[in-house]
Amino acid sequence: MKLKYFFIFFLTFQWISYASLEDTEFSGFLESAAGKPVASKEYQQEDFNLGEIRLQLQADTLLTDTSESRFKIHFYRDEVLEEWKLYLREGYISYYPSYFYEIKAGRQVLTWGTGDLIFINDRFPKDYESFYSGRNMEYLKVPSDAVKISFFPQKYIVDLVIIPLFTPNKVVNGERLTFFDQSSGDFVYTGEDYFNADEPSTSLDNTQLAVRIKKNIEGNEIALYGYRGFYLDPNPSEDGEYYYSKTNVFGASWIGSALDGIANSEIGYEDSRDDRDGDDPYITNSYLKFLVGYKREMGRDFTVGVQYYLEHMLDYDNYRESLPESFSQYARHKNRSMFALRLSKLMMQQKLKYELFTFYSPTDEDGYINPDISYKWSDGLSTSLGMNIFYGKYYYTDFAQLKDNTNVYFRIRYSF
Amino acid sequence: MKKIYLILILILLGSVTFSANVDEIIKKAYNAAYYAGDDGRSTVDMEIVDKNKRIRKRRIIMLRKDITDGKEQMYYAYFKEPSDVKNMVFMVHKNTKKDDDRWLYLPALDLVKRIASNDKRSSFVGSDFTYEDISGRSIEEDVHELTGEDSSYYIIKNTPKNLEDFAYYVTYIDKKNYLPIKAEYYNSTGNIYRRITAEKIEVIDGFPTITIMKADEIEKGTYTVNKFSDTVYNLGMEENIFTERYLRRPPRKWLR
Repeated sequence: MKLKYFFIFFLTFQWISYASLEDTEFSGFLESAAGKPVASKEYQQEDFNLGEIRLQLQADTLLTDTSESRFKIHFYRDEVLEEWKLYLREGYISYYPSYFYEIKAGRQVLTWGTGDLIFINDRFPKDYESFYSGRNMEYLKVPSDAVKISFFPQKYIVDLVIIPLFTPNKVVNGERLTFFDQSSGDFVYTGEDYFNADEPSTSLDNTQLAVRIKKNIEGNEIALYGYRGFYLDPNPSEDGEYYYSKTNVFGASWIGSALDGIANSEIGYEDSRDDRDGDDPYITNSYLKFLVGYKREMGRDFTVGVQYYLEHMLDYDNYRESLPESFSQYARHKNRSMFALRLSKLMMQQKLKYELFTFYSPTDEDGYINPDISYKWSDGLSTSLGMNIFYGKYYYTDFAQLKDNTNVYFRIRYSF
Repeated sequence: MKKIYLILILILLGSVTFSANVDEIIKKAYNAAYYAGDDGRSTVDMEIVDKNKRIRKRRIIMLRKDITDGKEQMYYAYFKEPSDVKNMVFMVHKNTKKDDDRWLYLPALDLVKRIASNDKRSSFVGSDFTYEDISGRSIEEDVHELTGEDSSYYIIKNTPKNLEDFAYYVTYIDKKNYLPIKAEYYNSTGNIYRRITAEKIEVIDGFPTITIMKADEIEKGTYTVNKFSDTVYNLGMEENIFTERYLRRPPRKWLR
C-alpha cells in the first residue's frame, strides 16, 4: 500500500511541477448504454444487465520537450448496481529523454500480441463482464498500474513492463451476468461478486513482469514474449475461498502480409507454477496455446477475418486422475479448439458499419455471436445497436454457461 | 528498299521517343505530386460532405519520408480532430514490389492493428479520397497515352492493365511544374463519374505544392476537400519515426 501512495505522490508532484493550461488539450464524451436480456429469465432476474450513463474527461498535457501526461477520468451512474462511481481510467506520465529508451509510468492500458479478441501472450487485465454485457469494445481492456520501460537497440523494440500493483480480470461473477458454478452445481446470480477473491499482496515477489522483444523485418513483425506473475482469473481452493494462482508464460508471434491479406500466428506456453504436476484439480493446468489467423479485404470496405485457436492441456492424465468424481462431468478437454470469424462492412463514407464477430468451439460445441450496427450521425454523435448471443450443447462450457445473459444492447455516445 | 527500311526505322524511333516522352511526363508528374523533397510535413483539414450536405471534419498531421524517389516511401498520419478519433495514428509503408504495409493505432485500447491493404481504392478515413489518391497510384498499373496538349497542359489517358472500378482516367498535367491539376475518372459507359482537382497551388520551400485538393464523387453526390497548411519540406526526419515506437508514442517534435 505504501508503494501505491508513493507512486501517486511522485506522479502528482511531477505533474504539478510542469503542467500548464496552455499545453493541455481537453476532450471527452458522454455515453449512455443499455443492455436487455432476451433469453429465458431462469437465473438472470434483472430487467437490464447493462444500464449506465458515463462521462469521460480527458486531459493531455505536454509537460516538457521530453515528457507528457494523459489523464482520463470516468464519472458514471450504474443503474444495474445502483451506484455512482468515480474512476481513474488512465493517468500516466510518458518520459522520452533519449533515442535509446523511454518510460511510461502510472495507470495505463497495455496491449500486445497478434490475436483478434484471442489473447495468449497479452497477460494484461481484461473486463470480460463489460465486453459480454455490451459496453464499448475499449472497456474490454482494464488499465494496469505499471511502469513500462522501452529500449530501442538497433531495429528492435524491447518492452519491459513492471506491475507492482495487482489488477485482476473482471470476469463474469454473478454481479450483473450469470454463470455456472461447478462446486455448487448451480447457476449464480447474486448481484455481487461471488468470488470475492483474495488478491496477492504488494511485494517484490508478487510484482508482475512482462517482456516483449520485437522486430519488424520488411513488414514481418516477429516478437518474443515472457511473463512472470499470476493467472488473472480467480482460482478456487479446497476450502472454498478464491485466490489468484501463479504462472509464467513464454511465447512468440508473427504477423505479416500473405496471400493478399494479413496473416498471423502466435504460440504460448503457460507454466502453472502452483501446480507443476497438474495434479491439483482446483488450479489451472499448464497449457500450450496456439493461434493462427488471416484477414483480407474481400470487396470495397468489406473485410473478412478468420482465426483458429487451440489450447492443449499438458498434464491431462494427472488432471483427470485427481479430479473429484462430482466434477468429472465438467472435465475440460485435453485439446480445446475454437474458430473465430469477423465480417466487417463499411458504407456511406464509412459512417455506417455492419460488423459480425463470432466464436465457435467444435470441442465444447458452444459459441458466441456478436452482430453490431454502428452509425455516425455527425463528428460527435454515434450510436451502436447489437447483440451478445451465447449458445451451446451443454450448460457448463465456457460460452454455453452464459446463455441466460444473451442480450440486446444499445449505446449512444457524444464526443467533444 | 533501303529507303523503306530507313523510314521504318525513323517511324519506330519516333514512336519510341514519343512514348518515352509520355513516360517522362508521367514520371515527372508522379514525383512532383508525391515525392517533393526528401520528406515533408503538413496539416490536413479535411471536410467530408455527404449527399445531404452534412459536413464531417478531420484534422490530421501528415508526415512523409521518401526512401527511394518515385518508389518506396513512408506515411504517418496523426489524428488531431474530431474527438472520437483524437490521438489515433495511421501509418503506411508504401512498397513497390508487394502490397503496402498499413497500421492503425487505437490509443484507447493501446492496440497496434495491421490493416489489410490489398484494396488500394478503398476510402481513406471515410473521405472521397482513396488510399491511392493520397499516396499515389503506381505508374506501372496503367498504360499511358498522350491524347492531347495545349499551351498549359498535357492531357494523358491512363488505362488500367487490370480490371478496376473505372474504365480509364484522364489527367491534366501542368506544363510549368508537372503537377496533375485534374483527374477525371470514366466508367465503362464513357461518363465521368469522379473527379479530383487541384484547387490551389503554392510554391513552398521551392516546391510547387497543391494546397487545396477536392475529390468529387459525381454519381454519389458526395465530395471531400483537403486543405493543406503549415507545409514544410526537408526536415531531416529519421526513418525510425515510421515504426511502432512512434505509433504508440507520437513524435511530438514533428507534430507541432
